Amino acid sequence: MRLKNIPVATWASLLVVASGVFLTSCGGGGTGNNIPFPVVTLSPASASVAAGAPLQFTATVVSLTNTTITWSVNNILGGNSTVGTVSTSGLYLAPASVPNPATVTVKATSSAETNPYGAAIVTITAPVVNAAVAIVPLDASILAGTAVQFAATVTGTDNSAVTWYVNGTAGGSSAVGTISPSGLYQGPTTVPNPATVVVTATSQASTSDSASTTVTLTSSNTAPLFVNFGLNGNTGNPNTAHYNGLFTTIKVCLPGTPICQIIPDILVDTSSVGLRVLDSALTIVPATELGTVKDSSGNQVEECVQFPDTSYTWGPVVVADVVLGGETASAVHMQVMGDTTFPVPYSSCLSLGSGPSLDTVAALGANGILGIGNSLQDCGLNCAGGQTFSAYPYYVCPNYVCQAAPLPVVQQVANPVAFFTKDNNGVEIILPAISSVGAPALPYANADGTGLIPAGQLIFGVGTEPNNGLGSATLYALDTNGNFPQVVFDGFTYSSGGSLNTAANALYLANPLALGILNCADNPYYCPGSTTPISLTTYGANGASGTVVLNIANADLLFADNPDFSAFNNLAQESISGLSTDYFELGLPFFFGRNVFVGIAGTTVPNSASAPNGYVAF
Amino acid sequence: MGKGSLRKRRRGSMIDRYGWRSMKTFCGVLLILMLGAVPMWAALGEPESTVSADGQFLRGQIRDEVHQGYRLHQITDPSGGVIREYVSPAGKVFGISWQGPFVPNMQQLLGTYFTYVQQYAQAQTGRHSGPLSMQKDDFVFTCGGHMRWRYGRAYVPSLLPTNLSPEVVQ
Repeated sequence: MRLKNIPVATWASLLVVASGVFLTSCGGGGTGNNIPFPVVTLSPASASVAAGAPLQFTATVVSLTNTTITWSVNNILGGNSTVGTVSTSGLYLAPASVPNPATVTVKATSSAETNPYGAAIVTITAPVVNAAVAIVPLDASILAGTAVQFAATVTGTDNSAVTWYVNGTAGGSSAVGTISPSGLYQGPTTVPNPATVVVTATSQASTSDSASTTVTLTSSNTAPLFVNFGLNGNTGNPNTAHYNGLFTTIKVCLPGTPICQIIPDILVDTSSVGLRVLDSALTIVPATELGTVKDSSGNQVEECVQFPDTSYTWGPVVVADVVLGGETASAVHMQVMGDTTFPVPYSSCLSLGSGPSLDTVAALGANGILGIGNSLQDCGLNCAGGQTFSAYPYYVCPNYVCQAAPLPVVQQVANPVAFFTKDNNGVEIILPAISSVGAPALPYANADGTGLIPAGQLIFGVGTEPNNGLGSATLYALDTNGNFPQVVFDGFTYSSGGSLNTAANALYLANPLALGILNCADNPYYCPGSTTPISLTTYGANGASGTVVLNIANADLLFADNPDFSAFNNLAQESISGLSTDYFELGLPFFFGRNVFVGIAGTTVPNSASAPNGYVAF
Repeated sequence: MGKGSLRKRRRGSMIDRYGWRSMKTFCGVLLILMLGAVPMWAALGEPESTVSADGQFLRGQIRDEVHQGYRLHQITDPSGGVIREYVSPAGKVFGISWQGPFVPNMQQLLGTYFTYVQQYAQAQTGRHSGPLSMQKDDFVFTCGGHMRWRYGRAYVPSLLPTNLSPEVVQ
């Protein structure tokens, strides 16, 4: 193409910028002597572009003779896959990965006589990736010194490589455990403090994208304690959500064999005694394979247990080896929840109150209940005969007709802790302190590994190991009913006393209405105008007394502010009907930030206190 | 006043009066009575007459007290549990309470009100432990405790004698 000469003075006004290709100047007049040196300029003159992304250049050619231009990248005509390509229209396409060096030069070169060119510096950056990282397994617990293999899945990018961190340190450390490039976590040989560490996998393609989970280290006499909504998750409805659910993981084995099943999500309950596992949860170790407990006539023993809220479970009493943490209770009697052989005896079992059956995951929100209260067996002498009483929990079903029956103490469902070979006189329950606004769960860590809230610890034995000494805790001997003999609140003595119950999701308090604390309008909890501290004085049967300060928050505000949170240390509700004989049942909120001991009746008490009915200490 | 001392005194007097043999006989008869379908003591909201019609053995086990504005029948079950029934001057059972190792037969104790508890309790989900409290129409109910010790209380506000507080039902 031939361009007409134009006066220099008019060039600027006549420039026509054709997208990326060239400029054609047309005009008339002027002389050859005035023809300027041809000029090519590129726009933009410098730019950054993500690998694999396009970038449009515009070349402006000022020439009277030739406006044809050619495009190159690093002087390679049209570029290539390493440095990126550029089309005849100036569309630059960055290479799929960042070249080395990461800057390239894009040129538009004129075919005019002096081959003038315009150049732009392009920096190729790592591609913007919205990578999502996921880790399995979640919230593992392992014995100190053992290992667990993690796997990370990266989506949103072709680069699946991750970098592993433990507590924010790439590769971890000997104190908190190490992790290999392939995700094999090797726990430290001693339990760190806190016992929970955070494992983080960060996408190498996009270092701002990561996922984290926790590992809780246990020692030979500890098991992890988790707080969450349980297997039914967050229902989003304060009337049905299982706030402050306390869970652990157990192992159940066929007696005397290595055939075992690890079962997570077992409710931890200091208000009951004995292990009860859903029939449906016993898959590797089926209930039918476990040892049976029979009466003298050879009838399988069944049990109907009614819980304090009138819910119940019905199922056979069986024999299993039960492993908690590193301790084993051999041939301990436990209950299978749910029975397909014998129907629930409606006339007696269900006349006791008749709440819902807990014998499904949907009803229980867990795989079972670990009762670690203050006695050896769930019933004791009252169920062992000598008296006949329709409220016996034990039944036999000759000819498929189930009748309440006495059962010798040694055959009853037993506290597995009491059947360990050591560390068998009780437990210590340690839950970390949490914020007054609550916590999502225990354990918990943000995706980037920050914000660790450790799991709790269930420690077996009281005063039997370096990790379970009573220390300065006050020991409260329980009365014959298993309660604090009395509780004093707001100047009034409550002679029904109270108890500590890990399975209760709130603080059940008597008569806070006297302090102006009102019930919420649409859920069962308290809704004071602002968080209100209360002070209780608890008494032991051994004469001990102490002050317990608790906070009552507005439950509506707690739930509204953090609808995903499951753990609250200030969730409370009315114990009974505001009557003066009420009973104080201090549920899980009491346990956050405390070390609480539960001593089993009849065991050796560490400090020689008199506690024939067992004790609690904190 | 401690409940323990009350229970001991009651038991002692019963044994003194009837001796161990009678105690055993009583237990056997009580079993038969309790396994039967007919309520053997007055149910909540019903006339007191069922109590007095219960026969010699149950009456022997019941301690009757007359208080200002109401009468109290106290029954000790074979496990040592205590059931108290509160009767108005009009002769109606207006309140019931219990404490002991086992839950008493609530169907018998609550009579027609048992349905309320059943319906309410079965609608409860998401909690495994902790007490159960409810109020529906003219019925107030609560129960709780832990393994080996249960307590509970129920009353009918409209049947409360004049000038009497629900506090008496304890």
